[in-house]
This record gives sequence, C-alpha cells and structure tokens, in this order.
Amino acid sequence: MADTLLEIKNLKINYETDDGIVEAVNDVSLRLEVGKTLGLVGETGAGKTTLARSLMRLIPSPPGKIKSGEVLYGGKDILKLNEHEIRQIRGKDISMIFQDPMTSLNPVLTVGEQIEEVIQSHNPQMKKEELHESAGDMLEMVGIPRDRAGEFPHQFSGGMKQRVIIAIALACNPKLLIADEPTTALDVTIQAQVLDMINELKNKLHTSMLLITHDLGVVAQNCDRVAIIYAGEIVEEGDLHQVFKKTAHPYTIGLLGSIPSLSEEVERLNPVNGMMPDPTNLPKGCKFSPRCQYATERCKTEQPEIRDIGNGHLVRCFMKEKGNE
Amino acid sequence: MSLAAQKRSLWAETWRRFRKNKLAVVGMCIIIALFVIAITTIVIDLVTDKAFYNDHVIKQNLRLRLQGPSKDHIFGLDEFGRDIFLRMLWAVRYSLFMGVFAILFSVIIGSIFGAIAGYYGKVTDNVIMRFMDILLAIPSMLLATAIVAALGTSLVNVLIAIAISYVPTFARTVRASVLTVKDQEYIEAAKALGASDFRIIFKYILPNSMAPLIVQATLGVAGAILSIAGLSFLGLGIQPPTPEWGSMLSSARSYIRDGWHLTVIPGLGIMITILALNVMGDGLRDALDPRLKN
Amino acid sequence: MWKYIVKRLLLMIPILLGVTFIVFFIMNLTPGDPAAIILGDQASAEALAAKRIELGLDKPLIVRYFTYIWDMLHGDLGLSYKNQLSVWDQVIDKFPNTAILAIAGILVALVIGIPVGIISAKKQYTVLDNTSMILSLVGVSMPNFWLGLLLSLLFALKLGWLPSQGMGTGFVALLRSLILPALTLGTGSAATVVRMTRSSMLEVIRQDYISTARAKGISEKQVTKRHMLKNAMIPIVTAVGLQFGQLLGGAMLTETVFSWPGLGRLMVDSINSKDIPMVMGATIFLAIMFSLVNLIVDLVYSFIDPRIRSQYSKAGFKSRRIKV
Repeated sequence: MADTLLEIKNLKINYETDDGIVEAVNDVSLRLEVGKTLGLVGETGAGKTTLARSLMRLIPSPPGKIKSGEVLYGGKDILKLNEHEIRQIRGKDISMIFQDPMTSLNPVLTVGEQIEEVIQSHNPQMKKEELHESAGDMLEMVGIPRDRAGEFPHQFSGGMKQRVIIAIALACNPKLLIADEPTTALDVTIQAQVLDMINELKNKLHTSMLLITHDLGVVAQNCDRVAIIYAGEIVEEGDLHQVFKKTAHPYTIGLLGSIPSLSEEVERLNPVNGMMPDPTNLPKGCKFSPRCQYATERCKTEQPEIRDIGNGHLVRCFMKEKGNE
Repeated sequence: MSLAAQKRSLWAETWRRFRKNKLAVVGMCIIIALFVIAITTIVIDLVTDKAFYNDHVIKQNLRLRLQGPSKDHIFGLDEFGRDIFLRMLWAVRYSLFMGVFAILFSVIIGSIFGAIAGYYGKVTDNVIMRFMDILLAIPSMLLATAIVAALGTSLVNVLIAIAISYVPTFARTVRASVLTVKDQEYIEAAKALGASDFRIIFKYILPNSMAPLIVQATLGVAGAILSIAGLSFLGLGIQPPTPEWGSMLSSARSYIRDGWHLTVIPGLGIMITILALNVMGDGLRDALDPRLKN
Repeated sequence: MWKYIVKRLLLMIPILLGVTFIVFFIMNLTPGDPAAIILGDQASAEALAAKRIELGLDKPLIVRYFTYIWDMLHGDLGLSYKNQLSVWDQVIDKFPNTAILAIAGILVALVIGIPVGIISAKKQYTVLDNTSMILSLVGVSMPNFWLGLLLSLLFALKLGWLPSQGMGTGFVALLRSLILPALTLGTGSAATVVRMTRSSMLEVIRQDYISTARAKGISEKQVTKRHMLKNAMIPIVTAVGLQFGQLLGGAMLTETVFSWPGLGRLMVDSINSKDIPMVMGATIFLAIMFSLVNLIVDLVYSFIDPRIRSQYSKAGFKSRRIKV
C-alpha cells in the first residue's frame, strides 16, 4: 500500500436553510494515496462538490456547516486549522479545478495576473519579473503561448480557459489536485484533450488527484481507485477492477447498466429508476432503498453500515453481509 | 389546469410571498390608511360643503400661533394658529393622488411608446428610444422645474411636469419586457392565427410586462411624491393656504427658530409615505420575481 | 481607445441638440409677451413691436432655436429680463458654487456608501446588515430639503456649531459652510450607493471566480479588494455617475434651504421673477453638464471592464445608458 496523503474520517456536512436541513455529506471516510488518483462518482446533488470543497474549507457558510469528522493532512486536521494556516495549504498543497471554466476566471484580470497571484501568495519574496516568468512557464506548460498572458479571459475559448485554470491550480506544484468535473462544461472533442493533459501533468509533477465526475468512462481511464457516492454517503469503494468487474452495490450496478456499450449488442439500457430523494427529507434506512429493486423491509428501516468485503472493496449494502453471501 | 386558474394561482403565489415580508405588509397598510384618510377628508369636504375645511384647516387664529403640541392639538399649531394635525390630514390627498395620477399617466404613455418601440423595432424603435434617451438626459427634477416654470404653477401643470419626466422610465421597462417575450413561440402562434398587432400587444405582450411595471410604478409614485413636495417647497407647486406637505415645510422655514414642530411634522409625513411605498415596492419586486432577491 | 472616445463625443452632439431643443421648446410655451415683460405695462405698441423684432420673435421657432445654439457656442445665452445682464456670465459665475456643492455631496455619498455597502454585503443578514439596510431605506425616503432643515435646526440653531446660511469665503469658512449642505445633498445618494454596492457585491460574492480566488490561498482582504470589488465596481460607477447628475439637477432644493449662491438658486429666483432667458440658460447649462458627466461615467466604465473595452474596439455600439 502506498503512503497516505490525506484521510477523511467520518465527515458530516449539513446545509442549514429556511426550508430545512440538508445532509449533504454524511459520515464519509476516504483515503487518498500519494501519486494516485481517486475517482468520486455520483449524480448531481449527491454531495460530491461539497465533499471536495470541504477539503479546502471552501464551503459557503452560512448555510454550509461541518458538523463532525476530520480531514487529516500531514498529521493535522484541516478542519481545525486557523484562517492563516488554511491559506498556506490552499493553492500550495491542495489545489482545485472548478466545474465551469466560463465562470471560474475573474473577468477583469488578465490570465497572467491570475496565475501570478497564486504564485506570489505562496512565494512573497519573488520579484515582478520572476512572477511574469513563471506565469509564462505555466501557460506554456498547458499549451498556451506565453505572450497571451496579457489577455483577458473573455478572449479565450472554453477549453483554453480550463487550461488556464489548470495552470493556476498547478502553479505551486500542489501535492493534491481536486478536479471537480473538469470537463463537464466543455465540448466532447475538447474533453479528452483536457483530461489527457491533466493526467500527463499530474504524472510529471507527482501529484495525487481527487477526480470528481459522473462519467464512469472518465473514471475507467484516469483513476486508480473509485468511490461511488449516493445522497451524501459512500455506497461502494474499491480499485477499478473491484468496482467495475465485481460490482457489489445495486446503485453501482445501475450506473454501469446505464452506459451503452459499443462492443456488445444491447437491446436496451438499464438506467437506475426513479429520482434522487429530496435532500431535506431522506428516506429512513438505506437511502437507496426506494429505487432499489432488491430492497427488503429491513432496507427500509435499518441503515446498512459500510463494510469491507475483501481486499479493501467496501460496500454499504445488507446483501453483502456475511450471512447473505 | 385552465389558463384562468393558472393566472389566479400566479397572483395567489405572489400574494403568499408578499405576505411573508412583514415590512412590506406594514408599508401596504400605511398606504391603505393614507388612502382612507384622503377619501375621508374629501367626503367631509363634500358633506359639510367645505365648512369644516374653512373653519379648521384654513382659518387663522393668530392668538394661538406657533403653539407646541398639546392635548387639544397633538401636533401643535402653525404660524397662523392652524391645527397642524388637521392640515396634515387634509394634505394627504395632494401628495397621494397627485403622485398616483402622475405615475398612472406616465405608465400609460410610457407603455404605449415602449410597446410600439419594442414590437415594431427598427426605425420606429430607434426614433422613440432616442427621444426617450434625450428626455433621460435631463435630470428629472430639472425637467419638472423647467416645465412648471414655463407653464406656470398650477396643480395640473405640476402633474404634467412630473408625468413627463417619468415617461422614459416606463417606456424602457415595457420595451425591455416586450423584447424578451416578442420572439417566444406563443406570440408566433398568435400571429399564425391571424391576430392583429394591436391584439397581440394588448392581449399577449403587455400582460407580461405587468410585474416589472407594477414594481416600477410603486417606486415611481414615491419619487413623484418627493418631486411634488420639492416643487411645492420651492414655491412652484401647490400654493398656500392649501395644505400640502412641501409647502407647509416651505412656510415653516421662516419660523424654524420659533417652533420645531412646524418643520419636523410635515417632513415626517412625507418620509413615512415614501418609506411605505419603497418597502412595498421592494416587497412586490421580491414577490413577483423571487430570482431577483438577495 | 481614442477612437472610442471621439466616437462617444460625436454621439453626444445629437443628444445635446435634442436636450437643448426640448428645453428651448418648453420655455417657449411660456404664456405672455417677452417684449411686454421687458418694457413693462406702459410701453407703446410700436415700442413693443420693435422689441419683438429685436428679440427675433417674429421668426419661426426652429430658426430662433438655431440662432440660440449658434449664440450659445459663442458664449452668449442672451440677456436677463430682470437686470439686462448677460445670462452666460451669471451662469458661469454661479456654476462653480453648484459644482463644489455637488462634488462635496458625491464625496459624502462615496465615503459613506461604498464601505457600508461592502460591509453589509459581506455580513449579509447580520444585525449590522439589517441596520444599514433600514438606515439606507430611511435615507432614500427622506426629502433632502427636510433633512437640510433638520440639520440646520440641530447644528446651526440649537448647537451653533456650523453656519446654516450662505457660502463662506476663505478655505476654513467655506469648508464650515459646506458641511451641512453637502450632508443634505449627499445623504440620499449615499443611501442609494449603499443599496447598489451591497446588491452588486452580493451578485459577485456568489460567482465561481471568487471560489477560484479563495482556493489560491490569498487573504480574504485580497479576495475582497482584487476580485469582488473590482467586479462590483462596474455597476457602482454607473450608480455614482447617475447620482452625481441627479445632484447637479437636484441642488436647487439644497441651495434654497441653505441660501447657497449656486445655479439652482439662481434658477429658482429667476422662475419667481419670470426671467425666462435666465431659467432657460441655467437649465440648458445644467442639462449639458449632466450629459457630460454621464459620458465620463461611460468612459470610466469601459476602462474598468475589459469586456466592454474590447467589444467597443472591435464593433460599433449602441447607446447604452442605464437609468436608475
């Protein structure tokens, strides 16, 4: 087993609004290994982004509130750091690529300034020319000519903007890169390019990555391990082989069933039936039970625990309890 | 659901959201109370053939001039010994009705111009909107003052002056909402069915402008009342001895040393009215378009 | 960029012609014979006819309008009916006083409005925010001439700290006499600026690029200054510019309350003495100033927002004014 870079323990995050309390992240534990990529897969609203943002303590508060749990990084709990300490980590140790490149760059600053900003905040001793120089280097690294540093975001295309954002995220050579659906907002043809580039740079810089996506194809190509999240809870976690070939949770089975295959003749796809439950009014027992074709009375009243079914393959389902096997 | 039922539920929904905003509801109650006062005083004038008005609102009583608030006269007496409380009540109608009428007038004119400009586009739009730009290029208070200066100070002229200075605001509002709905499919459908331009504008397009128009109009009445009071204060609006808040303040200026109540009370009247209209307008905006709320 | 500025200036010409024409037209609706006003009731019919020709009243309105504009371009706005002095000279004499007052007023609005708006937005829904929202509502709802009366009642009459009438000569005296009028004129605008700043900050606070900025590890102060404020500034500049125009136009009331010797008071006095050329000259002058301020605001706007800057350097544009 590789060294642990970051460990999330029993994290619980709520959004407290007028309309009720939303349990966005519920008792999540995850471990990120040095140099490896962990995929986090789930539907919109499953709590992926909230989880990712909490690692940098970027949850809007109010209404967001971290109720309990720990995020251990380098022996320290990120959730307990003060404002100054957390700023040392943001951008330097942990970086984030946000979902929508169109809105993630400040429209009134040049892209060069935006890259320089992160370098400068972690290298305050650097002179102006040096900052220019390294911002230019970063642009070139993501395949943008350095003389475009003086241009504004609106002069770049979506894919180019995402490259700029990647340059910002990698500028201080972070140990962990959180990529929150980095390609969802891009054209299909650009998606592969951007992902390839992220992967290549990540390997070159020995960065670990948390890749958030709802696309299992992306996971299969880029990740070492994968965690499936449903309604704020991890329902299945394992390496690629375990999750894709020895799929154990009915939700994961459903997700895989909704991907069309080119190699096999398939009559019809088998999507997951139904909708995500109302987050202010989650079902008792297993959160997935209303949509689960295998659900029993027990599933509807009792919450299953997540358990290891062998070699680090974790599943939250009563069907996989020892007695049922 | 039928269209009528849908419409009803839209207004019901708006009302439900509006009701939640306590401040806005208080504002609305104040405005309703002011309307009641205005109508009551008019009825009293009609019934007593202005006898009450002449005896208590206009008639001077110099022996008691500038007396402060007391049990008999809760707001005190003015420089001519008239009861300020009664004068305040009799003044409500001018501010309120003139403000409402001026804005009603500019809403109608502005909507017509805005709808025509937005609907026909091209040259028509350009001509109308450039004219509105020019009107907007003159500060509204200055425009109103110039009009009153030229036409002379009378109730009607003040009304015209205020109304004209607000026309461009409403023309712009209506034009903007016309432009957003103009190309939608149900308009296309109506056209395909052979509806006339007139019918399309009045039946399909203008109702869609209602929400922003109502909000703008509420805030507009507040602005109009301020302008009317301002003009009266400058001596260009309603002339004494007719009680009006602005002109009461104007005459109070000379007695500012002798009785603070002369200055404080009419201004409070204006401020409370404007405040009520503003919170009501803000509440309406949030209720009609929750997306705009922050 | 220079091309853009020149283009904007050229586009001002039709607007200014329109503005001056409207004012000219309105002032010509005045009932009564100007010749009779100048010469008095006892003048003979011949004298009146001669005066009318001298004033050019026999010519059509449009001809008189262009004559007026032509003269105006040569620094001639006609003669006052009241004292037969040059309107131009009197306007130029009084305008600086109004400008001083309006600038002081806008400073009050900026100094109060922007910081309070920012704090209010950053601490949304706290007691601080609610208090400042209520106060700004009161501020926009208060007739400024009433506020002026209250301020002079308190600070001039009761406490005797500051003068309440006229404009002081000498720097200290001028400053002292400026305080109450500037507060009076600026409070309403300050309230508007608070509301505007708050809502445009709230708009920006929710943007994704603020998260990007925070994720860089820069201080919250930097996030506010470089990222929020720089973006929020764009609508704020517009609001402030429009307020400045409104202050120029609305200075009449404040000038009347404080007997401030400005253009607004000159106008009010001239209206009362039916001195039409004076009223017209002052109105046209103020309207032109208002348009110029708006132009400057638009130019500043395009300097702050690179999107607008490049949009205009590429394609033509349409007039794009925002009315509060």
